[in-house]
Amino acid sequence: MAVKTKTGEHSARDVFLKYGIYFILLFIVIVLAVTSPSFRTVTNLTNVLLQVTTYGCLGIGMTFVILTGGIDVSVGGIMVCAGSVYVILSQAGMAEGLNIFMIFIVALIFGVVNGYAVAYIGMPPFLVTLATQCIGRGMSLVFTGGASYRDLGATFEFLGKTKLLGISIQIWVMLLLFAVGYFLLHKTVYGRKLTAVGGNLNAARVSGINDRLITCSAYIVMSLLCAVAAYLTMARLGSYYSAMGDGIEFMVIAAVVIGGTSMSGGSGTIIGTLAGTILIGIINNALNLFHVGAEWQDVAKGAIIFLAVLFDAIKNKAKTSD
Amino acid sequence: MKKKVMKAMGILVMAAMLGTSLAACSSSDGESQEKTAENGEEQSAGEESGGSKKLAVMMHSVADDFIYCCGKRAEEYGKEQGYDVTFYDADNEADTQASQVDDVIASGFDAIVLAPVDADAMSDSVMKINDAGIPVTLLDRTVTEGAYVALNQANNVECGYEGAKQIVEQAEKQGIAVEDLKVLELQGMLSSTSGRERSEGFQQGAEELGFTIVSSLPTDWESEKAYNATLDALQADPDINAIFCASDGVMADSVINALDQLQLLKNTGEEGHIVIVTVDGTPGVIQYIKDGQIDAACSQPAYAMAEGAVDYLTKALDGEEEADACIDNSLNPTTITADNADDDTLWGNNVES
Amino acid sequence: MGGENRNVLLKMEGIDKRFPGVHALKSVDFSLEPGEVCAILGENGAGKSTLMNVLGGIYSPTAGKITIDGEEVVFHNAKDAEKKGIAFIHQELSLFPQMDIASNIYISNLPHSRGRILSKKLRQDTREILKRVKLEHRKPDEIVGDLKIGEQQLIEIGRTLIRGIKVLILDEPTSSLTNAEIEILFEIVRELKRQGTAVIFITHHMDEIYEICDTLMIMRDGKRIMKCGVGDISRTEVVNQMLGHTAEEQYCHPERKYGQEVLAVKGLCRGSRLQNIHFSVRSGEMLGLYGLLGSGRTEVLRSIFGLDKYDSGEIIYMGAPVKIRKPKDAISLKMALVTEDRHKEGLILEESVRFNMTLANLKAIARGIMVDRQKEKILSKSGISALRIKTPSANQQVKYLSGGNQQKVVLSKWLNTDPRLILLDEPTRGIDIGAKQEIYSIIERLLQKGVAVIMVSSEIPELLGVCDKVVVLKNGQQVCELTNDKDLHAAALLEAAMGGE
Repeated sequence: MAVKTKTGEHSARDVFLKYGIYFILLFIVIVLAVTSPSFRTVTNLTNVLLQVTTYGCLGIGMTFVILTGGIDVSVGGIMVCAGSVYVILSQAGMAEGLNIFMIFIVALIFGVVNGYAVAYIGMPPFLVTLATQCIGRGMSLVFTGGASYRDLGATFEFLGKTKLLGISIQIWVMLLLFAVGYFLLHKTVYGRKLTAVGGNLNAARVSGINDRLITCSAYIVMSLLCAVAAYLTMARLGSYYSAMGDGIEFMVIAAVVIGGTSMSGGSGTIIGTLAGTILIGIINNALNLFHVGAEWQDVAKGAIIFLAVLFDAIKNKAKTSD
Repeated sequence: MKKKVMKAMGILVMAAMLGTSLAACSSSDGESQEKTAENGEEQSAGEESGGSKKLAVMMHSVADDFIYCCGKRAEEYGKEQGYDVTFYDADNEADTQASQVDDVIASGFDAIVLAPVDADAMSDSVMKINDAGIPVTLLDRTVTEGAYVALNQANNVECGYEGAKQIVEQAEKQGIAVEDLKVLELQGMLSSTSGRERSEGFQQGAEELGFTIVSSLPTDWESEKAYNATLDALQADPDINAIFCASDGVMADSVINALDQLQLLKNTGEEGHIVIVTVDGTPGVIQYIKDGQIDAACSQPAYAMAEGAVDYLTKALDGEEEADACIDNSLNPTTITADNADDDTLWGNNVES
Repeated sequence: MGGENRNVLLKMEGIDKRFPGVHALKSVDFSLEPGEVCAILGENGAGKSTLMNVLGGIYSPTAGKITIDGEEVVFHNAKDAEKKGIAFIHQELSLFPQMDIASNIYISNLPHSRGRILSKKLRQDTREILKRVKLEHRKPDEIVGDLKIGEQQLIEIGRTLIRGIKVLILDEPTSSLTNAEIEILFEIVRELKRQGTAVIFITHHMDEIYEICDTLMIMRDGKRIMKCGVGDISRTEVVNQMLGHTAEEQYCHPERKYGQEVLAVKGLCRGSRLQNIHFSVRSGEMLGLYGLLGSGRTEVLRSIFGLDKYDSGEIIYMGAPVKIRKPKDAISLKMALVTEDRHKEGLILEESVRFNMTLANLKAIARGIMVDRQKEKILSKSGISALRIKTPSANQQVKYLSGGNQQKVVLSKWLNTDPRLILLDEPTRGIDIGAKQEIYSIIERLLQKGVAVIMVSSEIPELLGVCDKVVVLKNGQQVCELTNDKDLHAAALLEAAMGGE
């Protein structure tokens, strides 16, 4: 079949599919700003950013993973497991710096296992990461017995309480990570290879790209961001608790997909993920600002995920009909 | 010893989740337990020092410090009473707990202390326990069907109601009149019995005592959601001057950190202090009360509940109490304020950190 | 012939089929008598498959009518055709590999009573069918996926036997069968023939045609060329009729100077797919690989390039034996592979022209770990102008380019790696004449610069026009190597590939 020659012009549909998230985000922001005086304040903006730091960090890594055509549902398990290792080491009186290092090491181990299983053994990513999620959660219970811990240490205090230019340092960390993620994905050779592997695995392989290593690396990036997310969450809440990150993977995936990353891999941007993350943050924020009860909050969240998947499906359909 | 049990439990949970070695794991577990049971038979049943009667302590979620302490106390007290105790955690999943109950029945336990995940969802499991002829006492939550020796429950409605009373009382100390109170209610998981009842009790109290709840937000017993809800609620209604937390184990740190973030954290007595009353009375909250950041907590009588539960089982095994007596004990909460925060009988002061 | 007054089972008259931009069938007439076994022959794209898809109800004809047993029929879908007794066995089997034989055969017609499957009857009936397809040694409850491919094909035929069939269409049925299995298949065909069922064979294998078929029909360019009894025509004449007059049309290429040997393949084997392949190509020389579908021509390229593993054999590159395990090794040896399917293996359609162009040689646009946009821009611009790629800009997504321009992007990607050996797999498939000529001239320029080229193609005129020599493959075996001088004719190639005398 010959491919139709379209010379350059983008249809309105293409534009909507590509930039739809920004329109929606803008629309919702305007509606909320008009209807809710408490929404349109600087404090609320920083509140929203603070609330999405965990989603945001995870979203960056999830973008990498989903770009390769995979999925990682183990993020909550990695977070809680890494956090639990931190607290037991702290309890045992080890130095804080070393313990924080261990957060990253534990997460890295999970990332390597996920990546190796998916890329080199060829196990299905959803099931691999579901298994490692359970392992992570189970291990955290083994380590802590499910108890909560507070007084985590000086750097947690620092991250949790320090402000820079009136904005919590956690937000700066998240924005910095987005910048790094943007640079990695869109400006480096590595990002090229990642996009190529996700866009067309066979073509990438024929072109001499080590597709397995690239796929594996996405899961490792993801796991390291889980470590950061765990660190920030514990700092923000001032405590470790065993339900940390429970069910977070679905909101993160929703944020990434709403941000325009295709579940089938290949196309996606870090900026889109930031927008998707903020959109979800704003919706959660608005639900609280408008005193929406528990039942309707769940309905709303279900609707968000549904819309995200719907959006992706429409996009894929548009792609295949080209 | 405790740590070992916890470890074994953790590994069990892990294996179950992995879905690979569940059968192997629980069967080998069962074997070792059967062995102890055989040994037990040689000794006379029901004796106080009888040694090896097998007791299962099955908690709905150890993530909650209170239920953890409850379970730990039941475990400890059970051992003191000479039981061979195994500890289970259902991680707030009804399915998990149901299969744990099946395992416990299959492994031939003699008695069960059960803190059900949910009243409706666990009814079938309790009836299975009844069919197996194992005496069971319920902790913390009831079931809608099935027989039990006794139910030792903190009166959750009362906890909420007492919370409302404390809000008013502590606000007065702060110089806030009832009619000026603007309260944020942080609810638990409304699909859980205790979450629902505490909210009911609190709202009933608010109505009777005549103060305004400006916002009731869900947290699903999750710290992060409590943190976000606190930020948002104070954004929407900056004049909130009191907060009620349906459970302090998962919410207290979040609320304090969120207030700190908003630079609204003041000690009791200071101008602009936001009155905080919580339910549960965890060690952390007792510390906050001592530090003057939280005003009061409605603490559940965890020790009485746990010990009572084990005692009822002993009685049932000795034939002093019917296995289907269904005695309902609703224990009223103990209020903790700065005045009695050092009391040694509070469970929160008996938790190892 | 003269079958006008004999009884006719199937009659297709004036069948015309147009696809957007393609006139696939041009008023084709075709008829079958009961018990007739007819081969349909033609080059790729001659219209054989289209005609059979019309008969099988998969395509509706633009014009023309079909009569079966004197009754005019209209098929809206494959189900309609099935009801009228047409059974179409495709090359790709449509079995359920995880299910047992009985369920596979009776899937659409399970014997049941009040929703319950009558398993005893099912097994009994299945045994009957198994007997008819000579699979008595198999039990009804064996899992189909565990059977050999040939046996699966027989199961597929067995499936059609449970309903009365009048016409059985077999599309390249023997390509995956062993000789013994082919013999069984032929026996089944002969039995069907005795029962009055007509059988249509789509095949390229001359021996089979002469063994089993009564008649043959030759198609070319969507037209029926002739139909006659197999005894009435020689193999050479068949090939000539298939090729028509256009076969001798020649492309011209300038004189080429051959240099040293670039690649030599010695005794390359890979299971039953490739057996003892051996050839060599010099710098400035173009080698063609010809063979019919499934002959192993693509596999040869994939094995050389490290995409597939091979069992034994030696690859000698620039005079030294090399071990290529993955494409990266091949690329670092300065080889390039333009794959057959540019959508599946050549391009990342969602990405831009520049993205695709630089993919095989990312080092060229790297500065440290970063992509140097400036270098990328220069490289892609020069690629676009050198190959005259029609695109509004280097940022255009390649999915919006025409097939010919997409192929040029793939070529450009490989030219950026500065290759010494280029492997081309059907480089001009699905692109228009003008683009074809441009691609030939790009390749010619490379040859003049001393690059060695191996090209797989199923178009004989193309091979005769641009190659210096042609290796012909059949069923994974090398039939011959022919030098492309003036005496090499299309018929020789086709005969070699089809297994004529």
